[in-house]
Amino acid sequence: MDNNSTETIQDSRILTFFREIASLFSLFVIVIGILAEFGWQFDIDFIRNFQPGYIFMNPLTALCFILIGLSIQIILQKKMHKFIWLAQLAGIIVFVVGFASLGAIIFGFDTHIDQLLFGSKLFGNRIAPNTAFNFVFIGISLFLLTKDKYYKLINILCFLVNLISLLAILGYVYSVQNLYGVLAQVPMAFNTAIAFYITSLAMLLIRSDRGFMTVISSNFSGSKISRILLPSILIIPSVLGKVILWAQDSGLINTRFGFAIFNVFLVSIFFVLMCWITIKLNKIDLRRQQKVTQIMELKEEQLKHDVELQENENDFILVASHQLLTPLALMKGYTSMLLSGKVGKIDTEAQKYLQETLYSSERMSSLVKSLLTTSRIESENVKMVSANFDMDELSRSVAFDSKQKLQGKKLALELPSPKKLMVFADKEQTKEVLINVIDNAIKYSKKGAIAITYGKTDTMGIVHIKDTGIGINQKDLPHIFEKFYSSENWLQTQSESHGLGLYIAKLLLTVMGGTISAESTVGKGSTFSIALPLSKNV
Amino acid sequence: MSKILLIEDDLPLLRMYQVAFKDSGHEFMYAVDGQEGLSKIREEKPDLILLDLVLPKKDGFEVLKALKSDSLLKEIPVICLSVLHQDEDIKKCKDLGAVDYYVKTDILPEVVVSRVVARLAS
Repeated sequence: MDNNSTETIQDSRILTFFREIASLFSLFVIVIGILAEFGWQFDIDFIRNFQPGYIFMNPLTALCFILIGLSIQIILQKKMHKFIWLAQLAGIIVFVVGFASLGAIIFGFDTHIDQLLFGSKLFGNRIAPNTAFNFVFIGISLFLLTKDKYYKLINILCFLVNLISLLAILGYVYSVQNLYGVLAQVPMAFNTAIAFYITSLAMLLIRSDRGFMTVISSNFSGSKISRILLPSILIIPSVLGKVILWAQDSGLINTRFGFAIFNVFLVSIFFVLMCWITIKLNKIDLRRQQKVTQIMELKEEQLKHDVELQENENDFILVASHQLLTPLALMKGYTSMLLSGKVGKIDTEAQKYLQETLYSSERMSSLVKSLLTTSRIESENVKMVSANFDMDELSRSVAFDSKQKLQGKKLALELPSPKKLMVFADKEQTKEVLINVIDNAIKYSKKGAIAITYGKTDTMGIVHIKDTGIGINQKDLPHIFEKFYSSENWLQTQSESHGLGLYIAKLLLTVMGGTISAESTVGKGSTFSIALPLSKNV
Repeated sequence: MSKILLIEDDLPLLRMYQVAFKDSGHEFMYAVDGQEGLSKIREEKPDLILLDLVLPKKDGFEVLKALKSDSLLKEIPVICLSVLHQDEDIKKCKDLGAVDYYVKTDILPEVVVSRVVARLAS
């Protein structure tokens, strides 16, 4: 049996219910024991044997049952936990009683331990060998009951006790002495057998969270069936058999007819039981299926909705940026045509205004493109193809591409001597980042130089881009990579930044496993450091 | 004199390029969607095609594909002219056989004209 799969789905309500039954059973056992002791004390027969003519329960046996019942109560009550040792002690006592009695009967060394109580009244009443065996088993189980790792042993021992006592009970019910009196000596008393039966059930129920008892304690449909079937199988055939037997003995029916009736009844009862269980299980199945279908439908709808929403959003931004860029292209085109003078002469004042218009449409188109890029990176819509490439070569070429802008502002460019810096990333996107950062450096520098240097850690290759620009306030520094963030310092001097460049750079680098950071002193300049994972096989 | 075909769905922009190409010394034709563009190409056999990408009926990528799979038309040089500016789109067009790619917002009309004229002269 697979314990692992059933252990996890224990229904705590079922386990609690089982423990309540176990508690009730242990009370029964105590009562049976006390009744027997009273019987011996006051010579009342029927509470010693339950049935005229049956053998009496030994007084020591009765005492053991009282101890067992009390121990089970201690184990079950949360408040009594510090007295667990009492239960274990009782287990030892019961074991000793059983073992000593066995010694007397099997090994021929009679300890006369069963003569300890009411010795003068016993008249040869002994503890039977099967009773002694049961006490040995129950004693061990009781001692180990609170220890989780012995659940298998406890289950097996209690199951044996259960079988032995069931045999004895059936022996009495059907009047077959072989079943309750083994070794042809002393038979187990009827009330002893009942007490053992109930005890073993109680102990099995207590340990129903582990081992084969999970068959009936789990929350699966199969366990639901066995919780109904098991008691029925235990009770119905015995009771029915006894009734038929009684009818035969009293001459109402003959043996053959009795067997037929027994069969018919048994088949009918279990047939009805089976139908009832089937209907019940089918209902559970149906409900479960409906629930599963419901959940599936709900999930599917949600998923569809999510995907649609995402697609709509992406489409929207794509379409919106397209729609925004087309008229901008027109504005730029006509303005430039006007400025070229081919359409007609334009005076210098008008030329200045047109230049501003052209410049603004350029800014706007760059903003729209950045927005689209941002949205695509954020929605993970950008294809990254990472490969090994030389960062030195790339930054060199990007820097050379901005020569024109550098010369326009009379800025120098300082490059380190060529030295391979192999990194693993998407080359095109890295180029975007470098362009962005170098453009930024140029934009905010009025004089001096843009200097590029390299660095390296164990895992990252780093490019430092140092400018001699206006610098960034310390309080702004942590925020410059945020969306639409513009520092006061920048706002005062520049208005062409749209606040997305560094944000996009950071997004792209993050996707590629890289980082970007900045250091700055106001008035002296800033250094941006771009780090990317070093290539793996160089 | 060569024939230039512009396939462009935005009418104001179309007019702008029409103006820009007026003095180019070449014949300027246009179509306003992908389907019309393809049939114009088959009728007129232009010497150069300026192709927008986001177009009704048949988009620019499809037009490009159809051209390149037609043995009679595949030699006609195609320049993509679009506001799409992602590297992906540019690479896709080049892979499909476009000889050049201009992003509308990044190139001035007179530059388009001068480059087209230069290409036709060579």
